[in-house]
Amino acid sequence: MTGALLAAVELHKSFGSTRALAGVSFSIAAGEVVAVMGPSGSGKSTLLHCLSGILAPDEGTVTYDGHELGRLPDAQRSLLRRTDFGFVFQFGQLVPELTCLENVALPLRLAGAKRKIAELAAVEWLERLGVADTARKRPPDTSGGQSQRVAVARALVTGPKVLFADEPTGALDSLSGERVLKAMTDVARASGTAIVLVTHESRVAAYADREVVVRDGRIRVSEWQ
Amino acid sequence: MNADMAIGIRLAVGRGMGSRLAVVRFVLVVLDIGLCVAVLLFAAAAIDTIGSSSDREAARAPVLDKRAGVTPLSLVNISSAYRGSSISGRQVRGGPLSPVPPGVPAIPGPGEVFVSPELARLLDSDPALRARFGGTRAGLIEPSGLVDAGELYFYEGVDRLPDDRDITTAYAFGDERRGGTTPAEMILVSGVAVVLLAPLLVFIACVGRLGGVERDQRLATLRLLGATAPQVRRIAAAESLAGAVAGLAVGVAMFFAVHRRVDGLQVGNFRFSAADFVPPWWRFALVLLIVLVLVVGAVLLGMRSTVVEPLSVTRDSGAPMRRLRWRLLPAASGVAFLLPIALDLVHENKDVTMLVSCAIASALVAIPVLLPWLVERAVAPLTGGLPSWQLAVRRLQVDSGTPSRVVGGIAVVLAAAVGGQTIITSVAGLHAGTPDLSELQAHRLSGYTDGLYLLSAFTLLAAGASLLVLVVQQLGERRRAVAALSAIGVPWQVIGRSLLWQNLIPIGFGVLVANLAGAGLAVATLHVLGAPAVFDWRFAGAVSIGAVLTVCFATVLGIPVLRASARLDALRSE
Ligand SMILES: Nc1ncnc2c1ncn2[C@@H]1O[C@H](COP(=O)(O)OP(=O)(O)O)[C@@H](O)[C@H]1O
Ligand SMILES: [Mg+2]
Repeated sequence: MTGALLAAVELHKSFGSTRALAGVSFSIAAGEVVAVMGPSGSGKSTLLHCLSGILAPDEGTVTYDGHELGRLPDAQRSLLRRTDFGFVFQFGQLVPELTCLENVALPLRLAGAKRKIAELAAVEWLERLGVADTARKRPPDTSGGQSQRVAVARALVTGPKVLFADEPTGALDSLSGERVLKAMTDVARASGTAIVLVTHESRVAAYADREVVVRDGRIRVSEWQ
Repeated sequence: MNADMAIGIRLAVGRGMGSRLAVVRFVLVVLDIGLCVAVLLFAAAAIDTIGSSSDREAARAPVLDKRAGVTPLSLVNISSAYRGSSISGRQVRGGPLSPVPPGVPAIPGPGEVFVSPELARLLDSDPALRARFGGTRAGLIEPSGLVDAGELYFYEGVDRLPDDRDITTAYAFGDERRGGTTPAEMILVSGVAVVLLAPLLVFIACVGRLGGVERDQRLATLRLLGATAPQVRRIAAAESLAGAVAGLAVGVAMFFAVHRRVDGLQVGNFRFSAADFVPPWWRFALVLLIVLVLVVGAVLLGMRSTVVEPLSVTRDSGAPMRRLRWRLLPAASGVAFLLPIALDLVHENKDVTMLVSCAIASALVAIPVLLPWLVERAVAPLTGGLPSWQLAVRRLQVDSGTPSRVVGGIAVVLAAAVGGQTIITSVAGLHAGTPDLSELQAHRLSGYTDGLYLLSAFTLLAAGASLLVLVVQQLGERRRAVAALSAIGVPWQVIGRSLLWQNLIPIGFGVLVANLAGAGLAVATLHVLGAPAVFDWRFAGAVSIGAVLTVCFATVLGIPVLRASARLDALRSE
């Protein structure tokens, strides 16, 4: 586990009587793309939330770049999300009141960047993901595939070290899903961003360096490709 | 910090440009806050009209105490009916050293008459009336000598006063003890004004807080993107502030647009004059400030019990007992305000007025605060029935959020309308039976009554607008769930009826509570005034039915929009 950018040790998490995580250890190196597979309800999303510090595990530790997330105050974890982490979820995370361009510029603006500068960077990322034409549209007026590309652009605009993607293609048909997946991994690799990619799409293996399988809150198989 | 403000404002603007339903909702909210603001501004101005007219009335009241070196002015009060309004005035006889009443340059000599501008206009247009006023017109009475611009008033010089009348000997004019507003009138006017204006404030707070679910989702997204908790609060404050400012702008525009048109408008005995209807700038500013603080405060207060987390928004509901205890607070403070009166501890009229006003305000706040809790208790044991009924009841049991707010709003307005109307009817009845009521007081009272009717009409109008906003909002919130129901094949008729039930159940409840509360408030106020309560059941019935119909109407109107947007959603996710 040496050289791990992000590492989790023996994570436990329960929701009431439901055990979502029952002792999961996981690590990912800088720039690595790891696919997290497993049936629905097995604890993939919970793992991802714990890894990114937006959910506190009941037991176990998550260490990012030498810092234990559980010990960081909320403001510090917010800062990490703003600078080092990016997120793409299945749906619902674009702000419908803002245009796609403004959505992509939003993380930079929350970090205090001037509007002009933030939007210049946003345009660049929209182009990189092939959705420059959605800049002036609102998310509800774009297709599902376009929305997810915009979401990827927004997650990567700050140049994060880790991208957390939770079934980013779950709401898309398989063709456009695969295209989004390819665009996302290509762009992330080009900028050296590691990806924790939760999915239950089997063909995802083609885009990942490594694959882990979660079952009943534990990692069952861990294999290197 | 500035960037947070900018983001908040941008989100507010975005709200006004999104989907069709979002646009409708945003426009309605802005119009609604605007309407409430305009009514509040008129009320702020009207306080002055009431005050200034009673000041002017006091200024012309005779001082009866003897004064050295003054030849008293002998006068007789005259009044007669003319086509539904009353012409009143004084026959006067005095010398060069006699006191001169306000508004006229000198005491009219025998055969001379000073008339108010409105009376002059009548005299010029009606020869028959002219025949009754024999004197030559010496001039017009200036506004300082008149209660309002529409008053029909005169001073007639005579050399012999009629023997069969009470003759007043005035040594001066301007007796504060006699002409001014009586304490009972102060209680009446301030009590009813509070009753009628409080719902506007409640509505502004309710409507300003709308869209909580969507806002929470938006804020959770911002948290996910790395916004800190204080940053999110600033953004939410800026967003609500922007909405409030838009509402204020519309309100001020409405105020001035209407203001220009009401000049000279006559409602009963009450005559508007545009000059009387501009509140002083500081009061104008105060109304705007109160509304801003109310909207932003309501949003921030609503967020205080909410932990905005990146994943979702969790409401910190606490123990059920504690929640109820908190909800009982306004009701308890209402009782606390009345306690000193009931125990006979306060006797000063001013103190009584203040306590009663505070009690009424607390009671009105208590209604929307307590009702959601009551509605949840009431629907909890309901079961079975038709599918539409079952869907509605289940939904209300799970979450009575917006419907409860609708009910709270309605209940406040209904309570205020029923209470205000009862007070007006009862006091009018009380005064009708008072034999020694002076002409002036009668005039003033009827002016108040007309003013209060007008105010309650405006409040009901604002209430109707707010109801519409709340119902449209509720339809918006239910959009996804409705789309899901329709997707699994539940017919639209059933969905529509279920939506109707979802609103009708709480509203039926609210109407009941509101009528009881309104009658209760009126009885309490009238008890302080020493008047027996006269209930106007027909009025109460009419406004109750009006409220229920407004909700039905808004729901039925909203269903096609809902249906269209649900279909659009379905298309998009394919
Ligand atoms: N917030 C929550 N409250 C209660 N139970 C939850 C919550 N989140 C997840 N769970 C439960 O934890 C288990 C794992 O969920 P999740 O991590 O979402 O699985 P996956 O993403 O693999 O489908 C499931 O049984 C789920 O019902
Ligand atoms: Mg999941």
